Amino acid sequence: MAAERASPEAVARVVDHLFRREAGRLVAILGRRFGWEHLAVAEDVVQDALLEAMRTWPFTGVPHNPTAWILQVARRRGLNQGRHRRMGQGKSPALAAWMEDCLAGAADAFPPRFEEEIRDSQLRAMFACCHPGLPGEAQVALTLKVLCGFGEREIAAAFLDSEAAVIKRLVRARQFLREQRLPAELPEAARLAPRLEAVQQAPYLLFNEGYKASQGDSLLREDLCVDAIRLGELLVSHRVGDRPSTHALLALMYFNAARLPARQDAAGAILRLSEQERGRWDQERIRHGAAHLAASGRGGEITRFHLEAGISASHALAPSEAATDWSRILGLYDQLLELAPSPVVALNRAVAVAKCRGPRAGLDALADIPNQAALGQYHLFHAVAGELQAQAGDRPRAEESLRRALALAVLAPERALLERSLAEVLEGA
Amino acid sequence: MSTDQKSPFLLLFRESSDAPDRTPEEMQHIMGQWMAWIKRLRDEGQYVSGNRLEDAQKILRGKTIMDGPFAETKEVVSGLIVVLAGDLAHATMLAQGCPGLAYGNSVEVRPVIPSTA
Repeated sequence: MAAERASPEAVARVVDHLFRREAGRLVAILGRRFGWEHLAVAEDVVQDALLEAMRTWPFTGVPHNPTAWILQVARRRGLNQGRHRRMGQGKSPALAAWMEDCLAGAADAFPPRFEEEIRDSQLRAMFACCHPGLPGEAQVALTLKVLCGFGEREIAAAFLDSEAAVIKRLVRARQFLREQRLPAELPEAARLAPRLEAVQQAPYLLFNEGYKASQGDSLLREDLCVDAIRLGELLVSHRVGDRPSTHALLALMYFNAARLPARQDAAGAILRLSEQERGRWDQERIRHGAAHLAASGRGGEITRFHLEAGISASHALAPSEAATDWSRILGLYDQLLELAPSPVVALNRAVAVAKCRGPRAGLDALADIPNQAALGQYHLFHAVAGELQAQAGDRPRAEESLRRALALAVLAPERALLERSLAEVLEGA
Repeated sequence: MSTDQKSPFLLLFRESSDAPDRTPEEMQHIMGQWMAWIKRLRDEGQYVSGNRLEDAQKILRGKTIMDGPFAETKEVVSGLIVVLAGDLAHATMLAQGCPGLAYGNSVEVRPVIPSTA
């Protein structure tokens, strides 16, 4: 046998995020076949089959077609084993027979028809999860659970919420879908249009979560961003989703995602925008971003996605940091603050103010943010303040702010960057 | 090191039947740990074979046949591997690398007496 060079960790990496992806594909396809009112059953069947994959694949290797493998196992195990048996759901022979039919139908569909069915099912699932009768946070939680294979813990981390709250939210949401007895087919376009805004929120929040990565060691959970883009593309491929605002959403995600490869150095340390090698920005994503930005301008409507895409485009399309059009970015932040006011937007606007009018003006803008209390526990607020105070030559205040930021920051790479800033301030460079 | 001084040992994995729900990402992580462990054993020439055992079971006792798995059973045998090791202590050391130990599983190590000389 030829010398195997791959480390054990590399072997494990080969199948990165396969489970999450498969969960998202299979719950959608089974949810559609079972009917959305039986979403919980679809989730249980998939969970059980994934558990079986987890225990089997270490011995057999990952099968060539994981989706087919998981579906076959789901079909074989059905309701009679594992969770369902324990949960006492296997008692009804009628239910079992009907499930067997659904599972057989799903397992016997062959590619490419099968891939098409998954795509179609996921689109239907997006609209089912974003039913207008559900509160917004439940819609997003359900989308992440059903379409992206997120667990309750991960959703809780993404929304800085407790796991118990997320579980409760999901239970209520499934209950609602059960009571609604939603048809598996999509309602007509006119009735879907009002839901579009909610449906767009899911990829948007997912992308932001991946971009900032509030959980785990890795600062860049690029896969979340890629998933979010995938949902956006799915949405825009449907006539209801093919709206200027969806294109703006995709543009903003592509432009931001383009910068991901350069945000960290080889050791995983965060690089400031000025330190990033622009050559490492993903040109293909920038091209996609530009194409969607162009398509987003077709209507007269300006959404927050348009403004955020404009900001992101200003960075991604600038040939150098010095050539960045900060006054344009500031103008976009001004509009964004008016359209969707939030302390975080105001914080980012203060950075743009400092770039245009100097660090003192930036600090004034920070001081002017209403509802400061909301930012007090946010490490980036203190980090920005510290950077601006350092630039303004106020070293004692800068040190104080950076130390406060360090006390609040959780992620190792973010902490490392703050330590670096603090060291620079202390050296009095 | 020559392998002819090594003999086979059976590693029997038992998992708790009321394991907590895991997210797909967590399941993938655990699977990755198992794959890495088995690969390490294989790379070092210690791995002979291994299989997952399904939960479905029949238990025969006298003339009675019972269907499993049983709800009252706390642990269920979930899989096995055969490794080559110098002695029981060595095999136990190898078993300590089993990722399942961190998730409430147990491993039983048994020397296998070869059927032929």
